[in-house]
Amino acid sequence: MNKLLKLTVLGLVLGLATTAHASEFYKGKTVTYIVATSPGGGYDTYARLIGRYLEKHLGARVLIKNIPGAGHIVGANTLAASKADGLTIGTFNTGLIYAQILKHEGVQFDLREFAWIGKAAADPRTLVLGTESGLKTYDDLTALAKPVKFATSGVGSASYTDTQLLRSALDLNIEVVPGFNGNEGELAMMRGEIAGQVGSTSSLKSFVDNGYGTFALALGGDGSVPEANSKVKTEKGRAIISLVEAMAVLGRLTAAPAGTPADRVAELRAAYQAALTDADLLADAKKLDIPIEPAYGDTVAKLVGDALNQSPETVAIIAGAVNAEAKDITVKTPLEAVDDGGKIIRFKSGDAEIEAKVSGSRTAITIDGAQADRKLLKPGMICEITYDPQSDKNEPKTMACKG
Amino acid sequence: MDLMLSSFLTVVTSPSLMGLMLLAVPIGLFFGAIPGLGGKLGVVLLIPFVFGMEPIAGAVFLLAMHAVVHTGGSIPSILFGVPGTGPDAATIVDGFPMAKRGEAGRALGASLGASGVGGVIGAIFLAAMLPILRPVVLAFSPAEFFLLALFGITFIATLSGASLRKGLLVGMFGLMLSFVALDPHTGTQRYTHDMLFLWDGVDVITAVLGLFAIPEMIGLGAKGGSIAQTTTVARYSIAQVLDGIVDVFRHFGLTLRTSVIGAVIGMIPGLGGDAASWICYGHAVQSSKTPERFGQGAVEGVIAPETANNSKEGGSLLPTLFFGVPGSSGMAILLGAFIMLGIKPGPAMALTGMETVWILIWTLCVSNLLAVVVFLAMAPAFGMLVYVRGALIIPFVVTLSFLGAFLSHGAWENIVLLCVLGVFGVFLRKHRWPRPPFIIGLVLGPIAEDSLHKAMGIWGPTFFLRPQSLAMIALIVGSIGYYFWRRKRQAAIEVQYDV
Repeated sequence: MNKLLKLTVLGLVLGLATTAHASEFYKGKTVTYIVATSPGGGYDTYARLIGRYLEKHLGARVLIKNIPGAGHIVGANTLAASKADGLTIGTFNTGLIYAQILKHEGVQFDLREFAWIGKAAADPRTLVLGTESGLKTYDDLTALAKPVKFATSGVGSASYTDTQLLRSALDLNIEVVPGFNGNEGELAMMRGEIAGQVGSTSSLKSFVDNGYGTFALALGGDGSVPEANSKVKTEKGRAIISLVEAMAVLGRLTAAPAGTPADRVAELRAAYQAALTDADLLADAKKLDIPIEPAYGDTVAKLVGDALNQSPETVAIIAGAVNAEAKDITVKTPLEAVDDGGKIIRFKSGDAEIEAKVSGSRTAITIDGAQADRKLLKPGMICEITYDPQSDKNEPKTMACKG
Repeated sequence: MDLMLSSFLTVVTSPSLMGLMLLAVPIGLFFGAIPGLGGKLGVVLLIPFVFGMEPIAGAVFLLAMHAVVHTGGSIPSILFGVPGTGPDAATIVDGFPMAKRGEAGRALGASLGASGVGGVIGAIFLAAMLPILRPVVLAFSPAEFFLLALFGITFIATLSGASLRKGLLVGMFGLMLSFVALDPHTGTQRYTHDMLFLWDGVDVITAVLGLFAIPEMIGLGAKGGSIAQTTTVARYSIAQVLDGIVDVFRHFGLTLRTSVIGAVIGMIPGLGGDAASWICYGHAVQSSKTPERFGQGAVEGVIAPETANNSKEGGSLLPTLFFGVPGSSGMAILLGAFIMLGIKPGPAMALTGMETVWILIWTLCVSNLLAVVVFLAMAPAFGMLVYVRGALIIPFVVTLSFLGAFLSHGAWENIVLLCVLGVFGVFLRKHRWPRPPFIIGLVLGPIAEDSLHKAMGIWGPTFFLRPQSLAMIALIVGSIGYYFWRRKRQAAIEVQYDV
């Protein structure tokens, strides 16, 4: 606790320091803030709000650039491909973590490599039923004999994955119709074409407040709506629910491209923190009715890293839920043991302990960027390991190690 | 009724509101007239200035600015063949030939009158729609979107001019290029060759610039002289501009129809201004007794898209205010600004916020009329530009084109794309192939694709068997049938007179 307090104080001091003399580098420059949706959605609202206060604390102009498409993948790809000079940052859906775990086609970014600035909110998922559907509660939904339709964004998007995961965890009798972006799903619910939607509580709040729908199920929240945890029946289902809940903690992320110079990342982080603790921003957020629950820099980087390191079992569950082929798994983790001259290694993949046989010819090993022999592997090295859990002895295809 | 009148008086008798509108209108015209800027950016840049304003004052200021963007956008379309904004692109097809004929003033007048009248009719129509807003907005589902886009695509035939075969080829090429993008449903790359700027598809503004502005400027350079190809001496002519405004009333039936079509398309979230102006342009050609005049400088070809792109503003305001669902991307940003100002859109507006709604509707009317006055003062001077020697005007227009292509997405690659499409445009112009079908394909292709996917997902392959869909199909079949009937009759007349 004491340590946390010290960190907070340090953060505040850093933040204040930045305000006091806005950075030399950023002064008069223009920072592009990529939003991976069309204007108007939740991400856009957060970015425009935070952007205005970043301007104040960074001393730079912040330009919002909406790059929608493919369930946030286009925006994140654009961010990854942008010049890593600290003048481009971006926000996109946390669900891209799934897309990366499943090695979804079109993913050209590596979330592990992004320079994480922070996150603005915890954004618990919720299941909404449209008033037109005639369904009011979760029990109405489960009592149905015929499946009803749920709208999601494109295949591979977070909204699609969340919906499929919930369907799998709760054995929901729903049919998923992808391709609804922005408010299109809400309109479809108002027309009665679509029964419901799984989405973030804050973006669906006004829809429900306006009487067009009801919150039927919540994944984490204040308890005013039935919890998914109380409805889940299987062990596997429980695991999925807690995974979705864990992802939701990381709401409204902001990152800079990989390779952004460390001093500029530090300035961006400090300004971001100063912005999100600014009393005026908090007052504006209250007016806009959007929650603020921030975390910064390394904390976020660690949370993202942890979310990407999943066990073969969890990856299989996610892949099964979205009907994707289970492919190779990539984790970044320390080597726990190296035996037999590098032939046998042990490491953690999520909560699973993996023992893998390293091939002398097929496994491509690099240490600190240079090609290396398996004999040089040592316990404690941090390695990004790609392995096929279906293969004989979990043979790694590539190992990029440091240390 | 009382509320309607009292809010009108609130607007016109308040010096501060009128002052704000007078300030906002030139800003809106400016953001429209510079290619690549547009209303969305205008609102975003003005938002910081409205913080701290009274909610109504701030909303009036932003809305007035946003409402007249397309009035300004027609200026470069007509004078140089460079569209100020996407929805002003259709105005080029006939507006620019008018300028070449020495009728720039008349075209500007027509565009101005059409924008003003369209904006006002749009607002009146919407006021009339208030009681039945919800059923009308909700009547359009993905199935109807698909059929509406298909309906628009059939206009390729009407816009083909003399040769249907050439028109279809160009139109299909436009459709083909519209599939260059990330698949909107699966995120799979389609013909993008790992080039990020193509992920959002081929930019429409760049395509219009490449197909119209570049070839026309090359043509002008080769021929020499000025844009206006007349031998008469350049005149500063307010009479011509007024004549253009009168044109709007000469074709009042068309003005009324395209205003209503524009307002309805604006009201349905998801179709967008580009679709509105092209569908209205197609309608003007189709409903004309002399469709062969289009593309050669028919004043109706200016009136139709310009009424539509102003009347749609009012249309998209309604779902924004009453459902909290923005009718367009510009409205989405306005929505955010409204919430910031303390106006909370949603169904509760109908109970507690009707005064605000009326004030905003009147703002649309008044700002459109103000724009006419402001613009009228400048139009004759602008009209003179087409008499300037080509050698002086070409570098300016080409620079404007490159700027527009770059600014519309902030991607330098679009400049390369502009050159490629420019070569294509030169080829089409030289061999007299029709160019509008290409843009129709490019604009409507993605709407058709996306909504077809959704309609199939919701209803399966029988989605078109619902009553609304069958009505739309009848409309499409009727429009194709009418086209062929007219061609046949025309051919018969030509044989008769042996022409």
